[in-house]
Amino acid sequence: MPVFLLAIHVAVVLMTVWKRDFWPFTHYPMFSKARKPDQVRVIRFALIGPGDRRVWWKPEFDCYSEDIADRLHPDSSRVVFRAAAEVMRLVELEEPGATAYHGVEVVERVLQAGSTVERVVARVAKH
Amino acid sequence: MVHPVGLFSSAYCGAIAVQTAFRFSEQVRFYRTEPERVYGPPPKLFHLISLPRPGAGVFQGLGLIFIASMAAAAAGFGHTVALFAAFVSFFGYFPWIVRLGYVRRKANQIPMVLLILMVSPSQALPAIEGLISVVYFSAGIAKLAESGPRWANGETFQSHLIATYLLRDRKSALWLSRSRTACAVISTVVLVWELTFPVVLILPQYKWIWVVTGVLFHLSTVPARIHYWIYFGPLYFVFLAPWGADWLNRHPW
Repeated sequence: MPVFLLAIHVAVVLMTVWKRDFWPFTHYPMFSKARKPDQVRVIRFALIGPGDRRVWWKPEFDCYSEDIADRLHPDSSRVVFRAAAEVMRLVELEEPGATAYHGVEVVERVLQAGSTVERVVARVAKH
Repeated sequence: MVHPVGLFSSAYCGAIAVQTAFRFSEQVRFYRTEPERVYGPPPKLFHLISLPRPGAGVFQGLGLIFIASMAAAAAGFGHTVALFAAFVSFFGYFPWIVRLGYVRRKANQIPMVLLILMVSPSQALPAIEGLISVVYFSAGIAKLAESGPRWANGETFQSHLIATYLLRDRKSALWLSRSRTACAVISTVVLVWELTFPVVLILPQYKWIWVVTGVLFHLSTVPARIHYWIYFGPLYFVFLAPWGADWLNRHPW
């Protein structure tokens, strides 16, 4: 096999060993980290409408709802506010002039004894 | 006379062209959301070269060039030139949509396949089979390196199912997570399958076991909206091309 073909394969293997990306050569660490079911905790964003009615934010690109949450550190109010601001920006992009909501809630969800338990981490009003 | 490499090239390029065309407007909308505001700048080419954000018109133009080039390559029009145009336009278009779930890591093989088809078509099929094997083996090694054999004990898979339920309200994910045994079996099968995928290169007479398992595995992730069939799935044509070419040559139209 020509050297350059071998080089492509070696590059992918090296990315795995180094745990780095030289895009488009990348490693494939998806789902590789061991987790325990009782430690699963997710963050979701809810849009608060009239009468404090809550609707889960379901963006067209669902990578956003998970990835913005992944970057969230609930103990940092600045990070939380920035995340909520990003959510509001993306909502406005999908529905320009959307007036049906007046704020964003950052909600932590866990599964305890088979039931979903939610905790509101922060509530950010829309300006 | 249908050649397996030509058949693979047509099927692969045609599938990628159709998939991109079908999702083009969605990808343009994603571009317009300025994903770099959430994720930071797109990946640097080979970790060295920062790619400037193209204007909206240029971005769409590059996408259309990519689609047209792949379609031309599939149809056999100016094959090498079309492959080259697709190769170049890939690097202008895909960095700005690489954060999309169905693009992330799944489209990375496109430029490698195009390069192989351009530079060494006579060895394209074994090279691409090798590429697929390395990707799966890499994923298996990453699991072992990060978590060791306990990755296969079912808990990690259960955790992902629970996370899927909490994030997307998928009750089927919650239902499956309740069986630790089922999760352990699935995890073990996946890990062993990934780590042993290179067997298809050494014992090609048994490759169908890994290919069929791969098809079933990737189909099973669709309900969780993990779409390997977009951009990664067309690679599987490499396993069908020799059989397909043989059949077409024995049954000419």
